[in-house]
Amino acid sequence: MTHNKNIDSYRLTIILWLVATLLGAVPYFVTGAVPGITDAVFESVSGFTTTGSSVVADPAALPAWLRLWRAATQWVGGLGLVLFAVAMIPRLRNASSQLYAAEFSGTQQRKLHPHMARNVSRMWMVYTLLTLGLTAALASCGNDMLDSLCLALSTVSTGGFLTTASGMASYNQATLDVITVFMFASGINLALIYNFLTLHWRRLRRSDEFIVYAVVFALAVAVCSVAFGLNGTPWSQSIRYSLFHIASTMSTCGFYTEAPARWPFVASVITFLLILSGAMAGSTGGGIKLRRLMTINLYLRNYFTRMLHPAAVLSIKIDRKVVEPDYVNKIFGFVFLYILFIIGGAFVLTITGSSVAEAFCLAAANISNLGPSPIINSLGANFEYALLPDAAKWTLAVLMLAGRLEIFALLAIVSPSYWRRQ
Amino acid sequence: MKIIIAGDGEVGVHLAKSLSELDYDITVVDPHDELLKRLESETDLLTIVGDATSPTVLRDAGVADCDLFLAVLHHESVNLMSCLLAKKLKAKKTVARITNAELLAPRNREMMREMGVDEMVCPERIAAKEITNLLANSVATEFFDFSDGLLTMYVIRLEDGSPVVGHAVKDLAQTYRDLQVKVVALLRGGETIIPHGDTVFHAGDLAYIIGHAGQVDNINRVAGKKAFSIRRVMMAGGGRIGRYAAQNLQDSMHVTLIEEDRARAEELSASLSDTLVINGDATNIELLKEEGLERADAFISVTNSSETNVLTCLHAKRLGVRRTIALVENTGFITISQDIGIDTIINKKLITASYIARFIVKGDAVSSKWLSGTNAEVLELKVGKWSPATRKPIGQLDMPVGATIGGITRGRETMLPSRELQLKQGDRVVVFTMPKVMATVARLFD
Amino acid sequence: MKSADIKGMLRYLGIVLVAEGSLMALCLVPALHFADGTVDAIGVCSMLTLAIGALLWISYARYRSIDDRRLSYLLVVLMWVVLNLFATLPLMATGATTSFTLGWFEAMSGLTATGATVFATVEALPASVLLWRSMTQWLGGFGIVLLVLALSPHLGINRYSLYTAEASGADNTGRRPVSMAQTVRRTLGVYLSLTAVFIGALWLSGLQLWDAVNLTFTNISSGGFSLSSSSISLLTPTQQFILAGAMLLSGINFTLLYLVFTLRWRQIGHKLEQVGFYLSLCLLAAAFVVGGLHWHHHLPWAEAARLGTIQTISALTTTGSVVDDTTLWWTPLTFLLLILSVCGGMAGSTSGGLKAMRVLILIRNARGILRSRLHPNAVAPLRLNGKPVSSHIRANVMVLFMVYGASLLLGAMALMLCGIGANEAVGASVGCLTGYGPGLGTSGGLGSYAAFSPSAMWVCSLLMLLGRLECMTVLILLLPRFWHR
Repeated sequence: MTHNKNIDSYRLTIILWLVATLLGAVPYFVTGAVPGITDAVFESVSGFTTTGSSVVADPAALPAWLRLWRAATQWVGGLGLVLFAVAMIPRLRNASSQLYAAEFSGTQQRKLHPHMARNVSRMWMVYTLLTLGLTAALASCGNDMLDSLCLALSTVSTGGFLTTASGMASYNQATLDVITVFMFASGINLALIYNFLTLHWRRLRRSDEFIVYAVVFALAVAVCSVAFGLNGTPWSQSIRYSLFHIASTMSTCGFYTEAPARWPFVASVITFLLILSGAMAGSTGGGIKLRRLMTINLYLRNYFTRMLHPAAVLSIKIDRKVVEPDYVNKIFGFVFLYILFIIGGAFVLTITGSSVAEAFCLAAANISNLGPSPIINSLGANFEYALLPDAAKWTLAVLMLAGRLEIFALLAIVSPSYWRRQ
Repeated sequence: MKIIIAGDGEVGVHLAKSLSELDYDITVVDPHDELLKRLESETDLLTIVGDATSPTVLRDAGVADCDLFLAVLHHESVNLMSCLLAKKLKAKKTVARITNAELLAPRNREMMREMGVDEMVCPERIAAKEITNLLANSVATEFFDFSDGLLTMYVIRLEDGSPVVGHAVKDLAQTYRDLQVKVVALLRGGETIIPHGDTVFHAGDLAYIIGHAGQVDNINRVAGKKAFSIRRVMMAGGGRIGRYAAQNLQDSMHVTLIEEDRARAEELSASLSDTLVINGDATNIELLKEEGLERADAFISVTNSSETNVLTCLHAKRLGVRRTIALVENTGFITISQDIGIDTIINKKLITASYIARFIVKGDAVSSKWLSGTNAEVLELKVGKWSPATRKPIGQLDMPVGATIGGITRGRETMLPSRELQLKQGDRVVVFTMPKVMATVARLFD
Repeated sequence: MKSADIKGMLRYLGIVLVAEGSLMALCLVPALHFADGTVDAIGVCSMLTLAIGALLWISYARYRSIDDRRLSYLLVVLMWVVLNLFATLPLMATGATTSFTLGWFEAMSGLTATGATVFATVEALPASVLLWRSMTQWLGGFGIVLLVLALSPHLGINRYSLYTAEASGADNTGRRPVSMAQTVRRTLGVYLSLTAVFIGALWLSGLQLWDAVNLTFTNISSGGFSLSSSSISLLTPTQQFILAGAMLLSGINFTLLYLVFTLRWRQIGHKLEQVGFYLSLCLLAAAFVVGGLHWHHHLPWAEAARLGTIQTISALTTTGSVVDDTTLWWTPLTFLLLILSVCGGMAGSTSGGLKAMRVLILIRNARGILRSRLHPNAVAPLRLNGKPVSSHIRANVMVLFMVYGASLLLGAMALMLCGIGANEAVGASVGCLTGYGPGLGTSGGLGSYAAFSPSAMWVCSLLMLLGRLECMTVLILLLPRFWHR
């Protein structure tokens, strides 16, 4: 151990993730549920990073305990392994605020409680409550207990492992509606949900990011419904489908149901953009996060103002608080690296045999921890992760980890100063 | 009435001077020896050299039997502290000058009152409010609302070619039948004239007119002015006044605020979300032009330097900005600044003094306003139960020379004074008065 | 907007039109020499352009200044649009293009030095049109608009900021030039002498003068048009290498070239890191491409080296001359070429893309952030050539990167909406925005944009203009605020 708490926490974070994903792969490998080590690790990483890309052909055929294990890895990964560890191991609590920063990089938000450990336990409380609520709701919709639990674990963590081979199509409409609501909720900052549950509703209305989240969601649903409707899908079905699809994409959950027969191109455009944007910072979802995009947008606005008024002094405010320039720069740096990872990932994928457009879609969907999506399915009629070459699977696994750890933790281990003796 | 003024500069001195003219017992506490010596030689009052937060000094000043304790030092915390002490030492009423408008919020005000600060004056806030009011009416040089906006006093400069120039005051009512206003004073070449029927309007006069709020169009017509709407405002100086004014204005207008200090400009841009904050020197006319000074409808200069304010306003005027407002701290400059064409002068000292005067004037002064340019005062008084004015009609009241009634509100109804009108208890009277007869006027209606 | 300002704008438009018209008149030489029957058309077009330009210039000669900053941005964009409009004339009048859309696209591709062409068979065009295409690239690559503006002292805005707003001159680190006129003189001198040298070299290598002139015009400007639909793939290796040299130089900052040519070695220090980055990126990418060609396509080393190096240089400098049918290449190689074109050459050269300096700042900034995460108290300013880069410049580079990325993404999506396939849309979007030219699929390699629908062509033209003006100057015109305040 070094004396630099930041380096220690990055080290711990990485070790935790590597150990967990490798251990998590053992059950798949031992039971022979997947053909090889690569597939087992891919499935495990996909689970812990809440991506939900799967190489298992028919999840329903797995033994019950393995199905539960698959769902549980997502649930643990949803809030983050480090947060899980902090909650489990009391001795870590002293360092928890550095640890928190290592895993949840750069969201600069108000803490719920002055003590990080208390903070963490509150988040776990909210998280558990949501999960239990969803399980109960799903069970009351007529699903069996195991199925309900697995689905709930996958939904609340925005993981998106499917429980059957045919997507969500085999579930009844009530189940889908309930899941839509919870997917939308999973894209909301957990601290805000805590405020909501403790009846501090004003905070919800005051959160600029939540308003943007809601507005973007509504707009996307509206455009998609119209696009489907004009393409010949019955209106009620197209609205329902759009709600489900957009909630699934924005929260980066990645569930999909049977798509309408004709998939309009506009829907693909919106889907792709939403994959990149993701949900709110501090939620279990992935992607660049709306908060960061809002900051960039405000900076851009200021840039144009400065073109017209070179002497103007401008600031960026979100939630009525000024975002410091240094922090804005960090956001820019993050987005730059994010895009670099997508391009780099796509480049490697082309080497393994994908076409350029397919490579971009795969890289984007996996770095944002979305996983399966109709936009990927639209690339090839029979696209399956299982059919990708091993090299592609490893690339995607790295991308998933990079996305989940918000890049910096992953990059820290390749930084020379990380290894230098202190 | 015994008043203690704790000050450390011009505001205190100005207050002391003007209040001692009104025959109050004034004690001034100030740390500056020299200043006090000069003040004592010029005016009739008691001075004590010392720190207003020292209980010994306060006791020495006789705070125990004072009716009003005014703390108008520069530092807010010192003012608050000395008010708290004064209250504990049995001062009847305490007033503190503050710089942070946050304390004026109702719930904070209540809290401060419980602690011992009865009233708070934020000159910057009042000045900003005045700027806001001035921009709401593009024609009047100044205007003030009385009786919750039922009565308004307009101050209008009569230009060459204005229809009323050359006519007598009494002609007004005959020529313009629907015009229902009272001309309470004319300011001509630095001299205040209380007009009677035969007084003739001259070009260049500043006319003080009282009427009910709906009369503004009529007044504009008579004075030969056209109203225009103000949509772009450029403001120089991002001090407190500038900041509060921008806060008030930014929702309804495009506000460009120019501030020289980079750090201050950054603070401003963080707190003013709809104002364009420019970092630069307000005396740099090229910069002002680049930022669209010529396209601005109003230019307001509220930097710390009166000279800069006057000069930049003049420049703006020359470039065709129709409305200019300058902050002038030196009271000696006010008349001359108005003479050379700046539309309106704002002076923090006068504003503070006006505001404080309402705690002083015996009787129920609802509001009062010290006019810049003339040292006259407009008071709004409530007619008391035992007032002599309830016994005779207005024509027979012995109003002192130098005072005139401008308008009356009874309930929601407004009236102009006439010789036959009989005042009743509870009426609100707007009176234009010179300072030397202010006390007499107050007594008349109490 | 004051009428004096608008008249001032018209005057500047007049000046560029006169310049354009006189160059158009030069196309009469091949028209007469080869007797391709376009003398009338070209003559009328150039007379018209000259007349309108001269009329505007003379009637508004008095109005030299533009006070409103907004109008200066408007003027830059307007100049490009008007230039392009008149550049379309010869193409239409000679019957080379059948529709205005095609003409507009081809002219835009020329003036922005992109090199995307709508002609499937370039050989069929009359000689005058061929020269006009090359000439537009030669003009646009250097930045004729910049030239006019830089030499006009009465603009209401800081000409240096305009200089950076317009692509070619952009280099906001290092020493500021003594005067605009001096900079322009130096860069123009370098440009003209390079042109002369390479025409001579190509001529000596056995090419006809006509081909030498045209190819030099299109390659020294990072343009990429050519005289045949086989681009430069049928030239001898020597000639190809000479052109590669022209391209490589066209990606280097012209002031730097000036200093090198005049042997002032000591002054080049402030651009050393950029040029190092540019050359090493070129080397690294070339190595990958050559390796890919050798191992994946089993080409012999010599051929792989020739094709790989030249195509890499062509992509990195966003020229777009093609030595081989790259559509048949292994996907990662073509993908890499697109990435290289996004990086671009050095600031202050004729190349497009993000520019080496910006990429360098982006990378160093990301590294700095990473370091500050591990050592939050460390103070390590971002440096370029040993000098700290202000946070202001850093942020501007970031913004440009974001906007560039967003333009690429939205451009590709717009093209898909116009009915272009996903792969091809990505390729065309990159090709047009960066000024590289060839995309993927039919528009890639030796292909052309002839198969694109008219709507897709308009999207592409917009992307070319966006890329050439580095986005911001065009985008600010789209803000409602620009027109209100």
